[in-house]
Amino acid sequence: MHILIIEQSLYALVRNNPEPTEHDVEEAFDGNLCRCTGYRPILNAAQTFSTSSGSPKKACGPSDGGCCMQNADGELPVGCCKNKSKNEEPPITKKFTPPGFIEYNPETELIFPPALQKHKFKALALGNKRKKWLRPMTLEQLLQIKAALPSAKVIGGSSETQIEIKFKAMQYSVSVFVGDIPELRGFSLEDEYLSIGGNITLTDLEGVAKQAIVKHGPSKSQPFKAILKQLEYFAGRQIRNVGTPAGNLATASPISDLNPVFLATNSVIIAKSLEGDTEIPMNKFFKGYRTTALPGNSVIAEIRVPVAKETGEYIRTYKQSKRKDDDIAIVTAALRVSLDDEGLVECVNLAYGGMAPTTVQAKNAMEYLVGKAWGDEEVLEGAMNALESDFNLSYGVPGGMAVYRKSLAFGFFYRFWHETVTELKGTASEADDLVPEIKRDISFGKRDHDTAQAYKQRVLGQTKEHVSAMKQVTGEAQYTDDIPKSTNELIGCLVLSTKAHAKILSVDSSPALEVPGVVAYVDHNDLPSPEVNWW
Amino acid sequence: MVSSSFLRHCMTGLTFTYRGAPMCDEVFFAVDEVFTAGQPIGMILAVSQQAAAEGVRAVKIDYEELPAIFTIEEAIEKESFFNHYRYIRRGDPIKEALAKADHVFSGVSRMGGQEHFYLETQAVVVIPKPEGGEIEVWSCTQNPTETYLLQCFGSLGTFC
Repeated sequence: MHILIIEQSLYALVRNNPEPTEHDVEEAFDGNLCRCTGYRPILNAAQTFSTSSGSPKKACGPSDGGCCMQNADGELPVGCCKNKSKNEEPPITKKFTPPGFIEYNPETELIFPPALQKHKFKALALGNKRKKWLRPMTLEQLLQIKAALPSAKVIGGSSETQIEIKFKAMQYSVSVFVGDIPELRGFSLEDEYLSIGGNITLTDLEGVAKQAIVKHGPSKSQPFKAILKQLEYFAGRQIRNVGTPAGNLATASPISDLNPVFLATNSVIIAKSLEGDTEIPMNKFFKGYRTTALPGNSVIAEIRVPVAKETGEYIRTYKQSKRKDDDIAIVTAALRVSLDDEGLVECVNLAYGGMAPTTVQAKNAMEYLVGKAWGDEEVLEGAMNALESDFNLSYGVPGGMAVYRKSLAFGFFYRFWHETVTELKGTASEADDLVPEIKRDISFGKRDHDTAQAYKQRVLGQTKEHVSAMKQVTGEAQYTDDIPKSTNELIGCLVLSTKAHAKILSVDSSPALEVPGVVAYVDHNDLPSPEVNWW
Repeated sequence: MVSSSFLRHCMTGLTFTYRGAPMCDEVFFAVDEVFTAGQPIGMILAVSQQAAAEGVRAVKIDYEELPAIFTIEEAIEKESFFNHYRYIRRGDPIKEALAKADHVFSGVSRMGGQEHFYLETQAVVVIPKPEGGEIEVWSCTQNPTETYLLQCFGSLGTFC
């Protein structure tokens, strides 16, 4: 991702929180992938704004390379990120003379423009024949739109819809942005449940879950802890700032991290339409791949997540993805068990994402477990066998990785079992070291200036900056996309084969030429000679 | 996979010494046969990126599917080999050396190595100039030499 976007993330962080912790700093970059400069210098620079490692930091010029906080005599101050390692780096000789950096002072920030602060949001309708956008400001307006145009696409954060538009070429002629309707973004902490508005952002939901945890105490708040844990690794901060629970539910994504929690906790969805409210229990909500029980004229207004029992109930969530942060799950699960006074299973929910075309429950295993003694080795064996029949994925299953996904589903249950049994009986188990979540520490790194010393020559073995490094890190570098358009410029987009090996029988470009804005189709016939086609 | 007719053309053609790594055996635009999913067949030119992308989806192509090779085992079975490998030979021939060895282990080893996959979006701006067919190319490439050669041979210039 472009360095400027990384800088925007840093600016947003410092602007919202002038004293971020090291963890806050690192989290702010969750959604930033970098290909040109590397994470170490970016994170080192960003960490100069963090407070957790010591006294307030001064942003100053790295006049001789090394650490930006270095004193004139080369001493590293207490709290410098580089003091973590005793092997101090030798100063790097740089030709770059930095400008005199000014100490960051939040007081000097531009204030939020008062005109914008006073801006009154009002309903909007814009667009043309091909594409219309509507923005209702009240729930009533939204319901009227849905009654008149049931097929209108309701847009929250659009993190799913944009993927559909870009990669599946979905066309939505009428889109309704619902993110500005205050009635759908609220929450309330009830004694028996937590009520959240369908369009609360996931970032706000993190805060709400924390409040609910304080209100209900450690046992009863387990559903909210589960939500919080799933949100920690739910995409990146930028996506959580716009994504919503209603979006997760309505798009019925089979690998949503949040839907299994709603399913396992037996949450209830309150759908509203002009005709009235409908309560839809979560276990009736998903009907098939990307289809739900939500009527066409209704919207998801509210989700009620019930609190857990004071004793005998356990809820845990697990997620495995290719990369820990900012990645889509391969398998994700929310597992819940409720025991009676004798330790027998009263009710159990094993909700999985990534195992079927929708978020599903392991029905056979759940049925098997009811009435059984939780903690009995034979019961574990039986539950595993039942899971096998629930998730008998074939090799050709959509999404692939049948064996791996099965092992993950079983593994999550195995962890859940041992985690809860340990808590229940207060004894250690042989799986104790397998159960805890592996968390990544705050990143650190250093440059190795020594290894190449022995081979140092006039050019070889020298530390050389990338020729455009300074331009890239200062945001000065121009990319192909930044070049102003020339007159008569056209954009070319390749037509690619969809077959592994095939004869091309015919190519008909005439439908493409009817698309507004398309000027021409070229292929090998347009080359001056067959020779120039060789590559 | 190698199209033998093109290979032959390239081998005998003037351009053989200049073009294509590691062997001049590919075409810019498929002619009558495609050898991999994602192989370029043509290009839509439009006034905006969105229109171009929409145009690409509207192009209708009829294929006749041919047998494809997906694994190394299938490739060995069908003797589908590249013919531009090099041998490094030192000491005794392998067969003789193995025959004389005290211990011989046999088994299968697999490597996950593959050609570098470019993650970033690729873009190039080509601006034709009024003088003598000159063109200016802004290319995000790690291979400026070949970009230059492409210009020499006019392949890029033909559809600017």
